[in-house]
Amino acid sequence: MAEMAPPDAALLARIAQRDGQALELLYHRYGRQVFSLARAMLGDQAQAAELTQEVFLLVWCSAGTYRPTGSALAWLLRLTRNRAIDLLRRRRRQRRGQPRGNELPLAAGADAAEQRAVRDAVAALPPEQRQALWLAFFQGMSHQEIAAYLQIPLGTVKARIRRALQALRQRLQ
Amino acid sequence: MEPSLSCEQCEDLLADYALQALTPQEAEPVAVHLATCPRCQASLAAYEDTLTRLAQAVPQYSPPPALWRRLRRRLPAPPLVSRPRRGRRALAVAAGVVLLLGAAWGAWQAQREVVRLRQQWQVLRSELEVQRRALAFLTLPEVRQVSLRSDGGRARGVLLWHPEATQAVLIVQDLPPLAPDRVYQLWLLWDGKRDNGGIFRVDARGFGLLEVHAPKPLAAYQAAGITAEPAGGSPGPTSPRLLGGRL
Repeated sequence: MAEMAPPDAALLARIAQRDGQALELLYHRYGRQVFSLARAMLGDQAQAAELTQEVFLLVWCSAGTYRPTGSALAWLLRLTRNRAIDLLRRRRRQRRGQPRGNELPLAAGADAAEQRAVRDAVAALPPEQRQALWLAFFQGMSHQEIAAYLQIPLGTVKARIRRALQALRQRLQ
Repeated sequence: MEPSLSCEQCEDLLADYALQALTPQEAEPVAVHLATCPRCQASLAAYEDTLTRLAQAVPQYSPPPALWRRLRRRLPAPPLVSRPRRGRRALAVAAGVVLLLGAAWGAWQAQREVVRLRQQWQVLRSELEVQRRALAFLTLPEVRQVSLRSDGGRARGVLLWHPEATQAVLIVQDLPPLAPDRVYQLWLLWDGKRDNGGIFRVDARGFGLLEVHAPKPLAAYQAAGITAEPAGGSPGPTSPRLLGGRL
């Protein structure tokens, strides 16, 4: 009989006990998603690889603090996004650069049903909400930064982002 | 003390909270409300699920083939070992249940065990709560990380801090467990002076977690250190530094 793959929570518990094999399993299970999100946000293969390493090192050091309320993948992607936001903000401070691209970097081919559902839900948003969501989620810009970048009031930024997320949440439920 | 939020006020902030677009000052009352409100917890979970799905909808690429080998080399000591030592507490709980059911042990003995387990459960619950808050802190944007190292020993730690917050999280590994009348104490150094960062103990494996509440925003400090002190902590360090690092 084939051996059952250990559930995520069991892997994280083993990682907290310094089990390197468990970290390797977790990496092979979710490394692709972590790397892909990092690459989508940073737009750079080498930096995405470095950030992927950082995320799994952080998991190695802090798996004991993981509390299984959401999925392990959700936690990993949150860590990835936070680290990417740090890098993007540093980039903007150093170069005073503009955000890269202008659209949510979703899979164009969208072969999987799940990806298609998300892409359709995003496509149904008004363009100004899509743009605000892209700047907030994938570029890690604060509300104030978005307001200055788009030259619109802060309240409008907040309303657009909130409405975009509420609409996505409803469509994807 | 932050004023408590109503569910409606909390709901208004949840989308931004899930996006981590709130400042630590704005996020704190939301976190406080969430800790005791199942309705808002469910709403937050729905937002987080949406964001996770958005994050998964990006084009998928395989990481470079050599990445795992590079990552493996960077893992801090001790080297990769498996230490399956799980379930000790679960066994203690099971033992407690057996004691209650087993009349042979006598009612007084069972009662004593129940009290002990209840105390243990309270400790575990408060530990879990600290871990939950530590995890929430870890997800804030711009959280920085500084390694705390010992002079030659294998003990190590990491301080996760946000420059604008007075809260931080300390995680230590491989510090030797102390006698019951001793505790570890974190010191935060600024302009040649020290602030108390809090006291903590470590478990049998040398793992410890401290939720730090500093008197000043963490950006004000230049370094951190850990010493062993008498139970309750000291006004100033009374023993050599065991771990230290520059912020």
